[in-house]
Amino acid sequence: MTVNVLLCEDNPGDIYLIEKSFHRSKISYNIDRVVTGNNVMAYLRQEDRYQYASRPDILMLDLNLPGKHGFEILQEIKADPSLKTIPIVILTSSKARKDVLTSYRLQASCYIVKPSDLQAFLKAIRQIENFWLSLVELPPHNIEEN
Amino acid sequence: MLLSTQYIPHGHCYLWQTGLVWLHISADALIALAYFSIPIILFYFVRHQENNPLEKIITLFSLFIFSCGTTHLMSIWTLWHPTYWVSGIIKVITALISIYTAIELIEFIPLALSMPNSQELENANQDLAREIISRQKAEAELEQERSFLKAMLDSISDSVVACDKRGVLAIFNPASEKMFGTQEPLDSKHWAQHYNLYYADGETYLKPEDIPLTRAFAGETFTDAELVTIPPNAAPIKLLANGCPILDPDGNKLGAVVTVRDVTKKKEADRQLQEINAELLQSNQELEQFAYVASHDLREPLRMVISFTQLLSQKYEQQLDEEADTIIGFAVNGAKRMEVLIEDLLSYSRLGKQNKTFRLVNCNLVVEKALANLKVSIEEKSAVIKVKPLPQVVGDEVQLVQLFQNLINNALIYQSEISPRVEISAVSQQQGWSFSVKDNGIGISSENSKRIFEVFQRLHPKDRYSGTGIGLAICKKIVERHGGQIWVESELGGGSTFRFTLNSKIIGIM
Repeated sequence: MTVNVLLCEDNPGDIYLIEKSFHRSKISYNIDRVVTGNNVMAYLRQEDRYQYASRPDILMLDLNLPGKHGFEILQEIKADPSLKTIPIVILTSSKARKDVLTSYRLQASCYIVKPSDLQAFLKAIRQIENFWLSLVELPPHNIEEN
Repeated sequence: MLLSTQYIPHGHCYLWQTGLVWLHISADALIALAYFSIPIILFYFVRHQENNPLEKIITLFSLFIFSCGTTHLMSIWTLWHPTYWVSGIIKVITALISIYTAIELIEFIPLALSMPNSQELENANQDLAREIISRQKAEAELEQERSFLKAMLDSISDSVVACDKRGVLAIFNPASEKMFGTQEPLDSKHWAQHYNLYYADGETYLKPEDIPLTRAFAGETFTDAELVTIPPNAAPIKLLANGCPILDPDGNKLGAVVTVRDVTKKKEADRQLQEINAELLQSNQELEQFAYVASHDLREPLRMVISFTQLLSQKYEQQLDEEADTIIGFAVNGAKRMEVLIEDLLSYSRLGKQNKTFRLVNCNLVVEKALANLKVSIEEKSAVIKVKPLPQVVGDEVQLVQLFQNLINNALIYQSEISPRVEISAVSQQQGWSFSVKDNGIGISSENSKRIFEVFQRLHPKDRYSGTGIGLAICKKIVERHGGQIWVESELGGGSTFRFTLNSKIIGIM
């Protein structure tokens, strides 16, 4: 089964590193990316140019996105019954306590600070893959089916 | 009928015997003399004493004695001239006066009885004298009190004004004159214009019923009533007035009093303080925003520099020589160092923002935690840490762990070749505890002993001793938040002893 990952990230460097790391992975996945906050919601709701987008199994969300902030996106997803089961991994540069706290308050699944060191960063991405894409049983797409 | 021709002179009755005649003449003459002189003296006495209650009776006595004297004179006359009708009429007059006097005398008796005798008068006089003395004394005391009161009113810088029970200005101390100009006997309707009394807006004259003294006189008690006075050719003065009516013990109104204070400077100071507070608040908010941006936005580009420099060196490993590796190492280290600096600066700024959550903390456990955090470093350097029994203090446990950790870490970092030895102890002081962290490290020269507690002050090159230069600044801030002081006793090459005090009122248990 292919896992759909939506990477919400505006930093080209991080996108490059994350995608590079994912390419080496043995897990079968499909990665899509959006670079603005507004597009994240459009993608999830299959609006405009995202009308054929598939529903992601997991969201990797940077907090500091252009347009809608990560917190607003979190809030909107968790308020939407059809989207709220999607696990959200916060992957950000911020070490600020209030960001960590607010993210968990808004029901983020986990909060990961991007390490500065290249090796540490790649390791973190691998760990996300191993945990979220392999170990974790992700929620099924359609709740009514169950 | 009044003629004497038909009667015999009285001398005949005495057979004109010379001795007998002269006896009567001289006796009557002497009586007449006496009877005429007595009333003159009495009359003189009465005339010279005002409000004498005996005036009437003495006057009657005088008349009665005078008429008696006249009858005796007539007795001498009738020895030779038998005008008995005349002498009889005089006797009748005398009789009438006598009877009248007698009646008056009866009426006078109760009054006469009630009149004090001389002893009583004497006593009364003494009482009066005493009364006079005590009154004089009371007056002197009153005068003294007045002087006190006046000096007091003259000396205070607040204006004191009071009115009597008619509402007329009675007290207007010098401070009042300075504030409101000279006192004039004016109706209260004209007070606002004369004394320049305005509402707090500084534009409208106070209505008579809103003038503080009028309000107090009307029975109102108030504090901090705002008003403004604008002396001619001067800036407005902001005032606060307190006032109340003056009542006697029975609640009868004796007047009213008002004190007025010039609060212009205080108001201005308050306003400035508010402005400064607002600025400070904004500055704090900006600082907070800055700290947030620093932790979030500054880290990202730094991460990019670090990651991609590393990626570069990894990817082109074969094509780069040793020098290139060194150069890449400088770039990565610089960026990593900046990251640590940002972290340190943030943790330093966070210290000031945290609420004080002080409770009883066992310093032995605090040091244990600090040592556990430094375990790797201690083992690496084979450091020997000796901890003497430490007290309990009131403080923030997390911060105290950081304090000990930074000081011990400092001792581990700034070391010569020999293995580090650190000794931690505490002694009781009058106001709390004095702690010491003693090492055998490189020491600090005395001219640097203050500088080391400032943010990012480093004494040594980075490649020799790691450390960002914020550890001791954090220590200083923590100690100061606990009401203590921190200093170092050291000499170059002779190790250092960092000492700090914690002002804890709790009697510590070792």
